[in-house]
Amino acid sequence: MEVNENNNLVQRIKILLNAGFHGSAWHGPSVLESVKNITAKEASFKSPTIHTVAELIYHITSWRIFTLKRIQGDNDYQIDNDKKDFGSAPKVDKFELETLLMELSLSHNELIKELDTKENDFLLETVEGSEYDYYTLIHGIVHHDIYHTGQIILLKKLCAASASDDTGDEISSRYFDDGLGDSF
Amino acid sequence: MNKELEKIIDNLETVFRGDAWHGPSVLEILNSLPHKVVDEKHGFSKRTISQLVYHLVAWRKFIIEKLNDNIHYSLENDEDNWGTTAMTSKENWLQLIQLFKDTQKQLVDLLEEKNDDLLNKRVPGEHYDFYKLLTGMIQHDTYHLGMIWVLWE
Repeated sequence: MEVNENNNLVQRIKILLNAGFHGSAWHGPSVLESVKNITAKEASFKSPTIHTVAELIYHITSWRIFTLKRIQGDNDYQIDNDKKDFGSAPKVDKFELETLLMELSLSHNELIKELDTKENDFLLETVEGSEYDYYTLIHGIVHHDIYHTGQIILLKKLCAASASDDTGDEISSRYFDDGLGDSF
Repeated sequence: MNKELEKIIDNLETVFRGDAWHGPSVLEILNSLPHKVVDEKHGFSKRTISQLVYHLVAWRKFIIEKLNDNIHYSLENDEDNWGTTAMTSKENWLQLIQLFKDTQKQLVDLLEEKNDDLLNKRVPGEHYDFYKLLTGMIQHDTYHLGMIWVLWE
């Protein structure tokens, strides 16, 4: 992507978005660094009041999709219930987890692709149906990513600390359960 | 967009006390915390909530020093980063929050004297520019805010 005076501000935000997602962000761990090698058990760990990591991954993806829809001119799309926001599978098996992570990366790549078509003026456009502009929305996505990254990192530690209470129950699949478990 | 710095200050203030896009702002969470949890130790985390708050203050101080061209300033040790036991005790909570608000104001006041040229300027003694430092610090706020939310659990 050629950077020039018409798109330099968009490209600058894109660098932050990529760093917060992939790595080399100023603050510390990125989204993908926080879920690297995460197990289905960690992703399914439920504390009393906080969403599971699986739900948070879904949630991070949801808001990328929302952003993409708005950029692409779909002004009707809304995240107006918990299912759309956090998904319907707080507990996942390893295949579901892989799917969640794949969808997360796909939504990120799509968003980056859209931003590459934009010039600086785009940042000051008001997001349809909102009171904020795209500058606020894209920075908001970065903040949102990192806010939940902080939660994910501690949820993993909380899960490890709770391991002594573990009953050893296998987590069952909702999407892919074929009765064979995950042994292949 | 000539006044990008204004946008960044706006983000800095909104994430700190406003109607932030990502979710709850820093002060919204800190003002909602029951007093008893602020210095509670958890087996799963090295830090308490008040230590994390001190840490956010410490990095504001870092930026203020760098804005004043203090090339040698750095957060050297655990105490610089996470505060003393007395500083982060439950008894000192209200003073810590006041320090946090005061440091935020000091930072915003300093930034308001600057213009967009600042953003491309290298941070004294560091290998990155003020754009990365300022946007990074806002992200850093949200990162530890996420942790504070879990520690409140």
